[in-house]
Amino acid sequence: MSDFIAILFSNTMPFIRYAFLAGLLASAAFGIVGSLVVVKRISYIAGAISHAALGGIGGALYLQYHFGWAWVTPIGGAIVSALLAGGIISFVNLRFKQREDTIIGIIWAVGMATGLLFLAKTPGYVDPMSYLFGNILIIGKADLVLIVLLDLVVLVVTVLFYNHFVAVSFDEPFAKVRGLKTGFYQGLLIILTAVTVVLMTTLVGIVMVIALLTIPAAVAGLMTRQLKFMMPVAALTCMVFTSGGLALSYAWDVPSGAVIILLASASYLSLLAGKQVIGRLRQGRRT
Amino acid sequence: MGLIEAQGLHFSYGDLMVLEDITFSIEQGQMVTIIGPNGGGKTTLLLLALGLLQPSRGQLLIKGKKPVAMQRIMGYVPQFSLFDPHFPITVYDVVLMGRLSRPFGFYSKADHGAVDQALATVGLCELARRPFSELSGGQRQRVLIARALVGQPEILLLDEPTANVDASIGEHLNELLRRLNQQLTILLVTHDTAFVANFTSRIFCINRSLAEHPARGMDTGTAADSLYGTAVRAVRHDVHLETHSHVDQQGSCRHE
Repeated sequence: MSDFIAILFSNTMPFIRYAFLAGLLASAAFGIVGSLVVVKRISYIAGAISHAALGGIGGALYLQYHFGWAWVTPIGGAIVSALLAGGIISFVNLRFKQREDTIIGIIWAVGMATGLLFLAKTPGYVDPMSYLFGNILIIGKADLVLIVLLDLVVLVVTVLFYNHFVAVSFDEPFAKVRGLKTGFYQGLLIILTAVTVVLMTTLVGIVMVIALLTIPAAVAGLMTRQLKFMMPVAALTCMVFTSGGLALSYAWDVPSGAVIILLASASYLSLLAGKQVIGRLRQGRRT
Repeated sequence: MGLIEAQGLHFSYGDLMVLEDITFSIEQGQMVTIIGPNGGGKTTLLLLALGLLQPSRGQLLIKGKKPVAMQRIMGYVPQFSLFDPHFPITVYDVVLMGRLSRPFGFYSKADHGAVDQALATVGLCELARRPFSELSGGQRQRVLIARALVGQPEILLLDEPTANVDASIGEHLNELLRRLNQQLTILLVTHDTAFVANFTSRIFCINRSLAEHPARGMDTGTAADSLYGTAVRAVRHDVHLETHSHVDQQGSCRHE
């Protein structure tokens, strides 16, 4: 462990320091958006959007190569495709609620498929695996700035619309009777999720995004009873997972993303089991 | 003109006709209980009055205007059994939701004051900081009533307030509604006979079309059995229909 801390402050491997900082900074957005996603039960939507992003990434690389459009960056492509996916899902949610899960499944699969197709037709070494699992170790300074910007956007939107997100998530018909344009808030929530998912997908990969969006929030959900406390607890939990996972992956010399995810899910499962056991014991004492 | 007026109201989900040619007029201060078999359209009628559904034909007006334009005078108490039981929220914050009106931002001091008052009205002040998920069914129902009251409505609309609530708590709720009825017009959907027999001023029986049954005013004594006769039998008949399906189709609630 002391080795890891020494490495963080030395200049021999700056990429580890960047990865560490990225983990800490990204945790704010993951904690806040993740809590909203978990209480609204839309992690499946986050999954579909992150996979749709792969379609955009592939498309952008294809256009860059074949048409020489350097301005079409993978992250730009990812944003366009994720917003498109988010828009379609919001629309379906509003108009054809009963078809929502089907549409989400289709977007999920189509995003992956088009991404792979574009990548196959784009010469050069592009490993689809890197988009699935990402690589937190190749994050640079510019990426850190992007994450800070994302944190700011997420924070401002959530503070401004917190009460409305709660109302729409808890009881949509009631919010409607209060005169709220519930479709707008649902859409805003999905777009906020999309933006977070996309940016993080290009940095740490699809699988890690889903894990860090849902697991820390689920852990926080076990420990708190109010959404406004769940968010910071989820962010802190996420920080522990990313930095702990990085330290372990350094110590054992194994892929960092996989270690972070396994650490997070193991923590969640043991906490859940612990809570169940304590609940049983308490009940046993009462009877 | 009445507070709530329906004229030749029709509603259908696609090809399925749910409500057919409903006409009624509800005066201010009345307490109307809507009963009828499951799938008979009683909740649909409530949603039309709330402006959450739009009629396919005919109209329903509140103070002469479309319900959507009059939502600020309505207090809606939905069925709590439809909620996510694990949603992380306190009783206080649930009630606060009833003050939501601006498109973004925070609650004002007046909003917080109104919450304390509404919680006092339903007798739940001491539970304000408790998680909503930890309350009993009856307590949750009162929280939702407080949330509807906090917006200072003129009409209270309740959907199955006694579902999943045991009889003694139902009695308690009954008393609360009787008190609220002194200031508010109440529209209540239920399949619970206790609510109908007690203090309701009118009974609407909805099974696609509407039939109104006689009911006595709030100050009825116990000698009202003969007058209640039809209504009570009708409701019991409905309960029967739900549990045993198509046992006896001869009841005053069938009127196609």
